[in-house]
Amino acid sequence: MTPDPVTPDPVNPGPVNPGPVNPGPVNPGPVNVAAAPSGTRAGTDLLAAPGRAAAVDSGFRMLALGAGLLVLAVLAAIAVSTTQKAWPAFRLEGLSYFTSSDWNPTQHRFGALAFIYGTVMVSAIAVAIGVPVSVGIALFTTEMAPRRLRSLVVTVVDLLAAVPSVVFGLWGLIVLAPWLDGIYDWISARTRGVPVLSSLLAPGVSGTSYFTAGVVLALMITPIVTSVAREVFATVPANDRAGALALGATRWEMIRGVVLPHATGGLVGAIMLGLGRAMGETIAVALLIGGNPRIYASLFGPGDAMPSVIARNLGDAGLYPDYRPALIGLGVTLFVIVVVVNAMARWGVGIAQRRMVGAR
Amino acid sequence: MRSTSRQLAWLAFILAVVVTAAACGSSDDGDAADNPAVTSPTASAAVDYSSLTGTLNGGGSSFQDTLQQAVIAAFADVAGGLTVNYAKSSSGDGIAKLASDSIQFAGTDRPVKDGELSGGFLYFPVAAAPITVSFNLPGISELKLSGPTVAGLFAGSITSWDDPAITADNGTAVAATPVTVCRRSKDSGTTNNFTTYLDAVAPDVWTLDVGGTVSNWPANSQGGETNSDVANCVKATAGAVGYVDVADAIKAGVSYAQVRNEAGNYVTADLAGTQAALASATVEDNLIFDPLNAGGAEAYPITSPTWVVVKTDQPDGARATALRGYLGYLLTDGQDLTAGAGYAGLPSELRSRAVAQLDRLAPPTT
Amino acid sequence: MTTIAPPGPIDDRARALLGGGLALRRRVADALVTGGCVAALLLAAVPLLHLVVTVASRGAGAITPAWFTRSIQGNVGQLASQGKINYAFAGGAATLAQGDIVLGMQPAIVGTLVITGLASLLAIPLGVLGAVYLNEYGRRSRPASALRFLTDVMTGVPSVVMGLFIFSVWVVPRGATGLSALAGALALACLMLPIVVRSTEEMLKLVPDNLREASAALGTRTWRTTVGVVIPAALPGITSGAMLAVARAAGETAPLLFTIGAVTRTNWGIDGVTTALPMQIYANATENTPEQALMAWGAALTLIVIVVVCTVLARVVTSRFSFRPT
Repeated sequence: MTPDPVTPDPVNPGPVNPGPVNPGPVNPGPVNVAAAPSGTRAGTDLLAAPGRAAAVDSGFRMLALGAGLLVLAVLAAIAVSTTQKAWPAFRLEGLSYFTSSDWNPTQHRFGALAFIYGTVMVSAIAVAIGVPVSVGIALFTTEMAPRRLRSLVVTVVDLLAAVPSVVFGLWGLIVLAPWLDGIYDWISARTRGVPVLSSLLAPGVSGTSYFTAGVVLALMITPIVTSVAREVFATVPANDRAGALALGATRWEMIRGVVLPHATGGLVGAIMLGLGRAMGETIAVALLIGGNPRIYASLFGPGDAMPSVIARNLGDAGLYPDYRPALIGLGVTLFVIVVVVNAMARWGVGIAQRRMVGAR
Repeated sequence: MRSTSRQLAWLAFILAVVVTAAACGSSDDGDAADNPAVTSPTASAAVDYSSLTGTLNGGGSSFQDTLQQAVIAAFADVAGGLTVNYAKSSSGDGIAKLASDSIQFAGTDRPVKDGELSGGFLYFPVAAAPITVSFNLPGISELKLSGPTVAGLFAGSITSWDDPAITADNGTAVAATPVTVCRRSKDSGTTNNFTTYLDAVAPDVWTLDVGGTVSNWPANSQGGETNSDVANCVKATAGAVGYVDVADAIKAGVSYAQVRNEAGNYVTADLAGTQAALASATVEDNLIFDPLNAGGAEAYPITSPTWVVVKTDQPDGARATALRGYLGYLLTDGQDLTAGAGYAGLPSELRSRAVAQLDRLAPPTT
Repeated sequence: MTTIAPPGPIDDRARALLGGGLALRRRVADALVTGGCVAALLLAAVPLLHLVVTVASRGAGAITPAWFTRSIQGNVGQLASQGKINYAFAGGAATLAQGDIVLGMQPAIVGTLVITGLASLLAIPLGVLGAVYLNEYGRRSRPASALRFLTDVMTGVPSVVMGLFIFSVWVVPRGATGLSALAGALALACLMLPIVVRSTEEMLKLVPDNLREASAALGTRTWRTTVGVVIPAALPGITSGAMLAVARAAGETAPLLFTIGAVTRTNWGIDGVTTALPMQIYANATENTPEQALMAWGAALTLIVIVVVCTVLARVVTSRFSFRPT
């Protein structure tokens, strides 16, 4: 049986070890040892000039280490330089940078709460919509789909991952937002008077709103959550699956009893990866969220999110004093939040994987 | 050599051939080769635009952006060697970028404030255009508004379209929709001119700031970065009202109101009204002119001027020549494009004074 | 003789074993979940399909041979001089027929290729070297694990933060000459580097150790083994991973927003202001004229085609050039 070729995952080249899948598709062509016309000469390589060969080897090792450290250096440089440049704004505002929603550059006031709220709100909507959809697709792929349909589903998910975010934003703005505007009005009209829902689903201003941005973000995080969920589901031991089915469980009962409990840790990690991706998304949100620098109570209202504010204003930020540091401060806040979320996600997925592998 | 490497080598070779073909196959600008010469009745005497080279970056006022883009596109056909870019944002932003030398010419609709630019600078008038009071009332395309009513709408004292003031202006009730104000979020020349008008025509109603930035807009107002963002804001929101230059209003497809002028007539924002306002504007020595709230029976009261500002001292001869070339085109052949773009061209006297001022753009004498 | 107790009441599971079928409740639950998963798939696939169809149909009108050779705005200047572009007063609208507008996008296409190409030149060799360290030298050691973890973390850093970083440390200090294709390429390279490192490492991990051992048994040093055996063996996977990183970088907008500026004529070099396809889409998305809308959709179509071609090539490289044991 020929194994499927392993392709690097376009969205998640990382944390899960595809070890158990297959070590197949590698081309063990002729081993290209340093040209040695005769057997004796090959053997003398080691003996002839050990000093030079060792030097080259350690030189290469240093080079490779340097490249690896470059990643670390860039990450550190990002963290340090952005914090340093944002410091004037933090010093000016103090804690009210994070607790005040009064963002008024012309008046030299920078309270970012409205943008933090917007980022959290949009990401929450994206996760609430996107995670069930992704888990459903992942379950479909691993448990339910016939062989041929599986590759079609994978193609659809890959295509979703390939579409650039600005194209999602363009389509969302021109096509989706006007359509959703009508739906918002319909929903708002029907929930008027209901205690909590009426303010949460109050009419907004136009089609661009937290909810519109959240819906498109849900589409954008689907590939990464689906792919991690699929890998997590694939590592559920086949014996447990078979056992449940042998005892007469329906497919859903098997999923509920065997697959999901095994996958909980990994799924939490997948959700947090999706959350991190949603929080960092800039352009689609900038086009769809409505650009209102205040907290709007309703989900259907316009707001703004940290990355989008940076995107819109950084080019012109020389206009007012401390405006640029304040915007860079938004970048630092976003960086810290996303890094923490991602680190927890990878750590959680890693633990879940080790637990599963160890259990065998 | 393994087949993998060979196939990859072929792929690389084919890609290289394709890229080279594309690069060689296209001239830097395919336009110059196949368009007819642009003739114009006011073609200036033998200015050889095609000998100009380099790149000029401009930016600032979004009010004049439509005209700038049209002129730049036409200029590219006659001056193949000189690339001009104009990036719209706001008047204040353009002046700030000119001060830091990020751009070589700034578009602005308001005069430069003290301290914004160091050293000498020149105003070159470009055109004038109406600031429309655009609105979004489903089913309604005609609206009359007097000055105090407009001030009340934007100050937030009129909160619904069935307010008595609006009904009085129109003779009949208009609609019972709440008002949403769409306005600018940055230091904008359009805001400066609009608030100056409101303060002149209804000082007791207009209690907010006058100038490029207003700090106390009504709480539920929506901010847009440029004129076209405000136009989009109006277009997307039922019951919205916003101040937008006419070109962006037409592009967005929003309706705009007839505004009552000093003579008591309701005038729409069209070419005739703008030219009438321009005719009675006084021009100062530095070529600043002000057609706001102009007298005259036909004048549209909210007519705004717009200029290009450049520094008097240019770093080298090539830059000065390039600027003189582009600005000269803008002031001569470019004026033919104004009406189509939604602006009124300069009166001939103002135009010749501006062209004469071009000579003051000088490279350093050393 | 003892009697055998009769069998107890027959329950669901026993009935199932006896071939009596499942209880309705369980069958319904199962069917609902299956239906729900199919619905989830449709919920993702239908908008995607709609998006692709919309981009293709609205953008196709812009794609002509001139699209690849003319500067941005194409023949708009001519049309304006001929009075055909008319935003005039009193109800005027553009008096253009669809075929009148000939748009160009060469500056953005060249810009995207130049910036992405330069970013790849920077990121891919460094990324492969870094992965070589992680997999060949570092293996499971503490520093390597820490580095691996940090690289994973870096793949999650928002792209706007990369752009912000390059803007504040490269563009701003250089003042007027800061905006350039090089700055954009640096920002994209920061984005691509961790992705290339991780995907290359995964591919290197798949090369069986017996190849390395065989090479070592012949007296080869580690570096020669890596360069001569391991990398060629993993090359299809590495290429594939690199292409996917390139596709991702080509579609990014945020890092370019503050680093490359905007221009309407092609800039073939890496110095000086340039533009790129995602920037053109973003700039024209909120504009209202028919020619600008066409520019946005046409650029979106071009960008999607480039990205999809890269992705498909990546898959082809993997499936065609990988060794499949028979």
